[in-house]
Amino acid sequence: MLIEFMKGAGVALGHMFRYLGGKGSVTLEYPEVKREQPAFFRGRHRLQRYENGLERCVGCALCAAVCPSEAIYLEAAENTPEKQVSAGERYAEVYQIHLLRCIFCGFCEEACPENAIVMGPNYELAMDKRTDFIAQKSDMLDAPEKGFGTAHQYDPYISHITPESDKEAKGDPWANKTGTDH
Amino acid sequence: MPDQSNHPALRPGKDEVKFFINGREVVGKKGETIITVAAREGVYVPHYCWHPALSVAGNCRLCLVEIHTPNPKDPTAKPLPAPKPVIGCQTPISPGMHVYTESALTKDCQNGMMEFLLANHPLDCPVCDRGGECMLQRYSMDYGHGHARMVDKKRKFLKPSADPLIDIERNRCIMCTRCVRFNDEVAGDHVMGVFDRGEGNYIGTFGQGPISNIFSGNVIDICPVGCLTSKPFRFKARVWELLQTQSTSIWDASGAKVTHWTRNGKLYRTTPPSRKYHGTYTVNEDTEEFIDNVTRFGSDFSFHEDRWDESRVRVGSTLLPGAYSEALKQAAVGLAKAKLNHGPDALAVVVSPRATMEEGFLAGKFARNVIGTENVDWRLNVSAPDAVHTAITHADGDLEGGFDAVVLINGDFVHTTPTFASRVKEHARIFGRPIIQIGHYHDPYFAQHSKLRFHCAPGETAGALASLAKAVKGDAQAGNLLAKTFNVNAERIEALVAVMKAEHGRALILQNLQDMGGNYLADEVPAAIALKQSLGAAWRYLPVITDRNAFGLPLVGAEPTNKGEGFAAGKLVEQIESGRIRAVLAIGADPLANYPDQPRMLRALDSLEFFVVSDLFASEVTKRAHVFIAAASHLEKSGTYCDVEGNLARINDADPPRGGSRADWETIAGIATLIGSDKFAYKATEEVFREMIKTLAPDFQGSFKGLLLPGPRNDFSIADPGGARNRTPQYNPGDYRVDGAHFRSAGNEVEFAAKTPRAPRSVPAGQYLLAWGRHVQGADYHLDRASIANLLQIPPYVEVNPVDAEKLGAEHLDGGVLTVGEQSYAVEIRVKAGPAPGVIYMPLLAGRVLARYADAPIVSLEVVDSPATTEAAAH
Ligand code: SF4
Ligand code: SF4
Ligand code: SF4
Ligand code: SF4
Ligand code: FES
Repeated sequence: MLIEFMKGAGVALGHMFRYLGGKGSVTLEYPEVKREQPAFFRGRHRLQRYENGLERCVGCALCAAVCPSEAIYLEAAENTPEKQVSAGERYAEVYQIHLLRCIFCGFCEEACPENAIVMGPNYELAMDKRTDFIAQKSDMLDAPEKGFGTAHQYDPYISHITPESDKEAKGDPWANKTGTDH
Repeated sequence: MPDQSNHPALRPGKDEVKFFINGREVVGKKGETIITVAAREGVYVPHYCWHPALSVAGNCRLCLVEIHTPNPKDPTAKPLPAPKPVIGCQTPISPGMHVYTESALTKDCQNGMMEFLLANHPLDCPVCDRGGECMLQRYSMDYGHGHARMVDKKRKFLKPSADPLIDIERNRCIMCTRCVRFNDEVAGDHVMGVFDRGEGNYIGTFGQGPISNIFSGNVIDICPVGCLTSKPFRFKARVWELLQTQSTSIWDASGAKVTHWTRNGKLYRTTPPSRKYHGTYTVNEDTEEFIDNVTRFGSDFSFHEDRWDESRVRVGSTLLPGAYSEALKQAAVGLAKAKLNHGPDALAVVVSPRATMEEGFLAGKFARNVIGTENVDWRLNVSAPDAVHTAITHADGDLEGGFDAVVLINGDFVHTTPTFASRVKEHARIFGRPIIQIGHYHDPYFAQHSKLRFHCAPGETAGALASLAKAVKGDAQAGNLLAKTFNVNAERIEALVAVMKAEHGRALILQNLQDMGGNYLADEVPAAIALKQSLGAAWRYLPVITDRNAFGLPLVGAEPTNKGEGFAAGKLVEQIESGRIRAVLAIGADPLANYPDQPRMLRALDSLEFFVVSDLFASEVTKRAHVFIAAASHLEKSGTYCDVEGNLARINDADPPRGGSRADWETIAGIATLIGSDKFAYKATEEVFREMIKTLAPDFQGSFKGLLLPGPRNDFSIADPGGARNRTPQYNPGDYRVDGAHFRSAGNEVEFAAKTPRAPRSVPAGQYLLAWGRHVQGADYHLDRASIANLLQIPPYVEVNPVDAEKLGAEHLDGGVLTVGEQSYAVEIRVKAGPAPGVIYMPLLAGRVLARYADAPIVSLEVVDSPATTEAAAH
């Protein structure tokens, strides 16, 4: 019996020393160390920008329409040459996601024709106040200094949008309005 | 298209054509096209350019169908396939023909046409306001490819900014020309056109100008794609997010049906009624119910910042906000006290012409049963109230079943009752019926379809109608007199008499009750009714008026019955000044609306012992109230309206009343109950309605199905695009019409002593007689507070006959200065054949300014060429 005990303790101790050595460990020193997420992870939403800083979202409300838990609310407004927010004629003036309602299904990401809303790797969703769970546009918009684009951005399974088509179509935000003058 | 099934010109049986659609035998009438019969039979043929209310253009080719025709050599043999597919919208049906709407060839055609239409299409649905109700989106799903083969660069146009209300995005246009035909045919304004050729083909307005007619907003719904969209609604919301509420317009007595689209207690847009197409309620498909711009863009006035949504009670010199119940109590106490001190006849109840029939009914019941007076009226702002009463109680015409001829007497019908005028014109246009216009002003809206037009000077119309009645009876002398009045030769009079005399199944006499502030109505109304009565049973009389419920309120007793001595709402000021009226209960009525001497009216209101107002806004009038009761707006209550044709229609509440406001019927019932009556215990408008109908038409047997629905609405919510989980009650638009029952009072014979035409007035050379009317786009208590009132209310203009214009040296759209008495107005000059020679017509100054003239004033007009000068003068 003692031999069995020693065997068992040996396995446990062996694992303990191996992990203490830092090799093959599956737990992490969270929150100091954060786990890398796979590209398809559906974490907290992010609203993306183009490289020129313009927002991708055109406020079409398709994400809101498809959302099964009615978590998205938005109000659109029109871009003007003085205030160019997005790369289309319209942008989302108010864009809110109620994270307590959201079930992280990813439909919004899939429905988005502009690849504007993507679900990032962030899984930290603890907040102090209920109202903080209503993510505002500023909470989700990628800050320019964070760089642009993520793994999701050009996912061929999600969208027909490619870096090439992006440049061609959206390089000039008023592309739709130039051409033959009649 | 108006229903003509009971029209005498169609002979059932004789004109029938039997043919086959997808193997099923169907029956159509000779001359009908494949698409109309198919639509009636429930077979859908996709189409863009075809529209039931417009002429056929046949340019989109999406309605291509395969047909087989009987073998001429051997009719019993197998039908022969036609060499090519044909367009269903233009191909008339023929006996024995086989139409295949779902064959492989038809499908291939539809598929190919969709690809052509999409070749240059930007496909920017995410930023397109049509998204969600777009015929191109739907057809792409139903008939199109799933992918594009177009690799070349797409054609792009610059974006014009021609119109303040309509956004034009030419890249999305599919060149169906529906908008062009709508403006030409329905709006009667040749303002849009197709420009350039080939690939450069585009849609636009002449001279890049705006589409400035009162129906222009309808091109938004008519356009099957997102080329023409609404500017006020631009990017405000997606259509599938909005809650739809079926309702009716409150702006004029045409009785247009509408849908209000709301979300979170805000009105986003108002459109013609949405109908169910392919499982969703939409308005973009083939709507035939056109609405005017005031109804479409002006209905959001209840969101104005002036809105008082809390009741107020006067304490000292201020109106302190308080509870609704407290205000009711104060109102009841004040009214009861006034009755005790001065007797019931010192109290008056005035009702807005936009009040519902239920409210009018309760106001009448309140005045008679609780106060004990006949002092109740809706005609506060109606000039010539007695003539209007006579006209309305003698109205017996409607457009159901159409007409064979129509006589229009004096006036700007299209700006008085826009959608009713459009229905009259549509019928005359489609079926080629003669329109006769008589009087000092002919509506240019009908000019294209009206060959018989007879001008006379203002004030001479009554005499002319009397002579006409005699001339139709064969009185040659009256004919000569008529020729003199109209200043035409005898042949024209003969032509007129011939049309009037002809055998008609149904003919109408339309009279405009807004003409010249009612100055001549006392003569003209009896003259018109007498003319109708002398012409026989086929002729019907149909007066039109702008006030929305002018036809409903007299029916339900919102008028004094003791005509003559007694209360006259038009003389409110005089009666207050003489001390006869001491206390007033005003239900949504604006005493200032039409009153020429505003300070005098305000002084009179100040001198009232007790003044209760139930209203929406803070205004000069409501600030003078002793008790202000916050009223629910037309979006927040339900009720019934009666239109010029005698049909009932319902407004439904899109939202609950804002703040502490309540519907007016609740307020009246509440005050009555507090004063001590037990006959006002209503819980819903339906109860009032039932009691009202029992009083109104005790033996009415028809159904009120549509009216008694709690309000057909269709609330597929934000998460329900396309209404897959639609909780909509089935709503049949036909139910809105009270089955066969028109609410008309049986008018008595009217004796009209034939007048000799009055002698022409002498007008100094270079001066003119001024005629005026009412314009729904003019100043209005409610319209002034619409969010885009500045775009809806058009600047003052005058219409000048081409003869006078030539003398004046004025051209269309020149600037001018009109001098009436001591006043001068900067105006835009429009050269139109509307006013008689020597007459200048000016609609927008109607009411306040012109109400003081009992006869047409003599005015002068000076042409100022440069529009800049006009602008400066206007400010
Ligand atoms: S992930 Fe799903 S539930 Fe969450 S916002 Fe997107 S669509 Fe809605
Ligand atoms: S995030 Fe995408 S789907 Fe949502 S409104 Fe913006 S563009 Fe449309
Ligand atoms: S018109 Fe229709 S198909 Fe074209 S962009 Fe707009 S919604 Fe899309
Ligand atoms: S603007 Fe619209 S209605 Fe007019 S032609 Fe183009 S697609 Fe047709
Ligand atoms: S609908 Fe027939 S050609 Fe357009």
